[in-house]
Amino acid sequence: MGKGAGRRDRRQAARVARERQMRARAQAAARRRQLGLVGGAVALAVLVVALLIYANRPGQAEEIEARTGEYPTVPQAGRVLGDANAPVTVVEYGDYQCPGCGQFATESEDDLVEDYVATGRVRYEYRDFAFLGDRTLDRTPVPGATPGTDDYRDESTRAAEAAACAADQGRFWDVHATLFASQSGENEGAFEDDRLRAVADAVGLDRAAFDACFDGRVKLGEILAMKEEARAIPVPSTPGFVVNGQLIDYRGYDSLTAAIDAALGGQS
Amino acid sequence: MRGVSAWALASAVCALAGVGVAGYLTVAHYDDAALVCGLGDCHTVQSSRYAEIAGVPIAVLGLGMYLALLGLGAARWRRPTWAGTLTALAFALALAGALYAAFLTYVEVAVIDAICQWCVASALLTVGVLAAEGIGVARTTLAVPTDG
Repeated sequence: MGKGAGRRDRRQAARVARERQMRARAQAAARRRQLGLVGGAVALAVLVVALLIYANRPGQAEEIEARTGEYPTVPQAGRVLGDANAPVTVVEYGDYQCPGCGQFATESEDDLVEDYVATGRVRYEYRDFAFLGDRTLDRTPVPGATPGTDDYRDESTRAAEAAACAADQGRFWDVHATLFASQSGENEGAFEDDRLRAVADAVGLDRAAFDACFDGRVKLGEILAMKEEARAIPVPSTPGFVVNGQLIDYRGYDSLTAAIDAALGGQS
Repeated sequence: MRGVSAWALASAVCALAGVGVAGYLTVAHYDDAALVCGLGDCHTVQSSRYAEIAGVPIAVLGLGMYLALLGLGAARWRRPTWAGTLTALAFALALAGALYAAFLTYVEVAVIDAICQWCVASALLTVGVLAAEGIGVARTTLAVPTDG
């Protein structure tokens, strides 16, 4: 009798131990499944983000989109478009590396020229506020220049110089439009010297004359003076617009046309 | 009435605020005049090439993420038995959002050279959701009942 009870107890104890072991195994399996779920979801998230970042990474130079024959019916004088005696003068301060300026140039400038400049109501001038250039990269220093100073070579300043050199050949607006259409990031090589020479070729400039101006840095003083002028106004961001001498609070094309219409005395 | 844990509530509040911010940025993407920027240069950031992926505005993607997070939170509340799986999904989604927001913040500072206060707000809200869902993962997905 006592022997039989002892056997039953041992069997009972063994069953309890087996059940506990099975539960522990089930729990371990459940934990592995849950860890696998979290790990898999995290890995998928990281993979998706890595692909997105790769697809959208900085430094992808895009093709040069040559623009020629810009505004053939509108009077041009260097960086000025339109009738010199127009009742309203609009001055844009921009940087060729500034995306907002690129957006204005590619989406709104044609409308401005067609609606206001070509109709003789606005004289439109583009002036350089070349401030986005990275002067800390020590890429291609100007001989004798001090790193970190304004006469140091940077992509914003060099792009502005290229457009100014094109103005000498009466092609400012072609290079201006080509530069904005060829933007690609900032300080990532889109407007390195070789690409700016390629822009000159794509637009069809006289390369010898362009090189003499561009390599000789003939326009540097002019570009730096315009930057100081913009800072003195002060232009808070680019693109910045001055309408008949008044800096406007630019918030998109509609805000510019509203300021022009007001200056024109309400006519649209 | 079913109780809501503090981390789930925090996640929902951040996601709801995110819907507001991303919704506003979506409107501003299509109507630049609607963009009000007290700090930084939102116009430059919003018009940069990084503001879109394959033609889809980042703001729209962000709005979709926040709505999906709210949906996962609601589903978790309705179906507590799926809480572990739904929380893992919400955590992964918030992680993806936070990682991409980190990339965009780097781009703002190092490449575009302009900061957008709304983008920074959205990034912080995403990190808030990530932290809350991280706690949720520890308490639901990875919590296996012990012998009682």
